[in-house]
Amino acid sequence: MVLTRKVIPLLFLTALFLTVPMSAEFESEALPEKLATPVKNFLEADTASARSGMAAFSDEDLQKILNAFKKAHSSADQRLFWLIEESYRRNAERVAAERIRYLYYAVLAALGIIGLFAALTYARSRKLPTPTPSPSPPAGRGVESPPPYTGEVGRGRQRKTGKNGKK
Amino acid sequence: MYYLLLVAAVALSGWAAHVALLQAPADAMQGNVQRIFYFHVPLVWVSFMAFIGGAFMSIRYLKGRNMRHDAWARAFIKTGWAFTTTVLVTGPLWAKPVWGTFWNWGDERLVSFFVMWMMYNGYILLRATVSDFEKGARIGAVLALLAVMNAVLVVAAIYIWKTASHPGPIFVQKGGSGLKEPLMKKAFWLSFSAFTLLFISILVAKFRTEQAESHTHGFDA
Repeated sequence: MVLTRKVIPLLFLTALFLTVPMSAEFESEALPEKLATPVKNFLEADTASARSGMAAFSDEDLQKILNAFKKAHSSADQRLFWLIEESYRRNAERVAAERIRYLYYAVLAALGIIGLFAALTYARSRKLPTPTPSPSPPAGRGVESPPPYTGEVGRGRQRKTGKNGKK
Repeated sequence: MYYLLLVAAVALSGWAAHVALLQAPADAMQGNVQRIFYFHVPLVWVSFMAFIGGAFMSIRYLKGRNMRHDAWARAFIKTGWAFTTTVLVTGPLWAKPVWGTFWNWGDERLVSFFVMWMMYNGYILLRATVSDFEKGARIGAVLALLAVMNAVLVVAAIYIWKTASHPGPIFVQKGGSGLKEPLMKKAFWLSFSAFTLLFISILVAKFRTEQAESHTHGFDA
């Protein structure tokens, strides 16, 4: 009798604890028909397929799935969802801020390097006098002895010759 | 005339930056950092164009020993060097948030690109240090040809070694990925045109200064 008194409440409590998670179980059938099958497949797929399959859900689909999932949980669980969402939001913000920072550095670097190079080049070219045809050729080996016209066009400067004039 | 080119290039760059940074949507996977591609990829294109131009002028110099071609080769390579340096800075700045590291020494494309940049550094050093200007021009022309062969290797690296981390061409990736959004394409092509125009405007000014340098060494370019 004493044993029965102890066992019955124990059984009752066990049954109660088992039914609570069962009632919170997410049923994909609760979703609109169009979403039920993809969600069911997603839940049953292996980890790799499930991860790669996430992208197939649209923003609207995700919202519907999340709403249905939240409805299946107690208000205490809802608070935990808030915390999870807050954690993800902060993470996403951190990542986005970091990426913007690198984009900013890259743009600055590109502008800096090319801008500096262009500024130096233009500053140097500004100092140069406007080219005018000079009356006499400039001094230097390249123009001291202009090559005799050989009938060929664009051959450039004549090659060096030996003492007796032979190459 | 080249000042007008510069003004046009700056105006086009401003428009390209506006579309790339503010109008084009952020990439679904990479977020805003993907926008670096609108600068990085056109910069690579301009770098290759510069080095191919430098090699072409070097061949013409070796063939005819005309100092004008050497001045063009120097202008192409020095301008290309500035753009290549920018590629080497913007690439790692994209890689850090996406790969988690600035650089991957195991990636053949990255390493071959770095080697190419070093070769052009060598070219510039060589031209600055060899006292015989004509000899410097000759050796420099050969080096420019060797460096452009390395540039071919940079392009082919992703096909030869199936590189670990560097992404493939953005328009022809497998599985239909790559740029598809019209605003993204607009940003890319605007940026591409802006950098090309900017390169041409700097190149023309650089050629003038290189021409003057040849003149100071006693050569009419």
